[in-house]
Amino acid sequence: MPKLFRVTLTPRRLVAGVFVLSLSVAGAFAGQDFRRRGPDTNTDTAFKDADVQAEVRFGREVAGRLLARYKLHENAPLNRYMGLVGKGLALNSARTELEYRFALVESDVVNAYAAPGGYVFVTTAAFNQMRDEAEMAAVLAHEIAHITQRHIVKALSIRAREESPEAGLTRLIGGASDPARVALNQALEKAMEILFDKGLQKEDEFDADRLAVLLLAASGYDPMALPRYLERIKALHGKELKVLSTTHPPFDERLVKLSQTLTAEGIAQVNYPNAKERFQKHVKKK
Amino acid sequence: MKKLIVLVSLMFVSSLASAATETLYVQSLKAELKAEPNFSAKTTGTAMKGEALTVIDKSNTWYKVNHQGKPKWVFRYLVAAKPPMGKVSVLADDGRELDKGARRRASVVTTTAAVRGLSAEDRARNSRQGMINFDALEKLDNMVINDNEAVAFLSQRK
Repeated sequence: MPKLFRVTLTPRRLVAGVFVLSLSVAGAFAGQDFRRRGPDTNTDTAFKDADVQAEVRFGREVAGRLLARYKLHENAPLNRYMGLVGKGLALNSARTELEYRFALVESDVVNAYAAPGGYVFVTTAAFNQMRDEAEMAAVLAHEIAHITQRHIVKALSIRAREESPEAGLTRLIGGASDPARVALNQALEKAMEILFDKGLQKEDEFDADRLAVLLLAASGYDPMALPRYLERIKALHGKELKVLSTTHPPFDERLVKLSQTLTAEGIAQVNYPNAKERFQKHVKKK
Repeated sequence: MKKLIVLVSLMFVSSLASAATETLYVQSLKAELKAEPNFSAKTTGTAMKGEALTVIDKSNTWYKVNHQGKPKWVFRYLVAAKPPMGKVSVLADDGRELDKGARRRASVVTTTAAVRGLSAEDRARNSRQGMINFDALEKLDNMVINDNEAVAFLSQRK
């Protein structure tokens, strides 16, 4: 076989070769991100103020529709108590740019709802099943997770080809033409359908459960409060459970996955408070 | 020659290390930093919102970061690759929606651009049809909790 090249490896050539190799490797890796891409870090493309404003405006419209369906429970001290706990959790989340609002709504259906932009509602039936502040925090944390992960915005699928879901929403909200208004109304109806009828994808609910227990732990609440509350709800029968069963995965599946998360994260045995006394004090006042 | 190989190897490794350096920013109001990657570990510091942390290592849902010259662990959920945004609101200071305020009282509107939602005509129609409860929505708009109050309330829990 003919010798095509013959290179004598001198020290100077060795240094130069490795230097060039280092630069090319560094250049190749510089654009990559070694973090495990997961939904619990805000690794999405940078959101503009206008995108977040559109999300909040859209969520407010959804909130208005929800409040036409369920009457606002006008117990100011109780709503304020829930708001203090909810806000405390939200400040430990990744989207502190949102002004969250938490409210009780009157319904004999056990459920809670999260509208984009920071609007969280808990039915009085769901609240009446809570036994301590950590359980209330658990339900709120689950809804906060839906908001931080933009589950509903993504589920609306309103973006144009190269657009993010958020930019699609901005375009809808900013449109003044008749077609734009029709498209906005359709998106709002779809959001209501997700909340009250079809529910989000199973994976989004499991995601919200997982992030909820992590948020509870990060905020110093007993993370076992969520499976404890779900076990109690699972034991209910009848109409109270109807909507929850339609819009969420089966309880057994949720509880198995929660158990796996709690074990994997080492938070199944943490001795964090449930603030039962404070909860009972506020509930007695209602 | 051996010394040269060692030197060259060090150059190569350091170039890889600098390529993989990652900075994360605290997104939550504050983030407790731990001695080990779990919630039960000793708290060794606190990083505030917007603070930049250089990643040294990772373990499951925790990042090992350099904080004030020392390695500490931070929960992944509380940090992100970009600095946190400022508070975003669609309501003017007097509680009215920016789209209405922008036309009538531009002086009290914040510098964020007014975002149009449904038109006034659509709102009136939706209200008549019972599709939107604007009264309840306005009450909800006012149900804002002060950040410092919420933090204090959390700390008083037992």
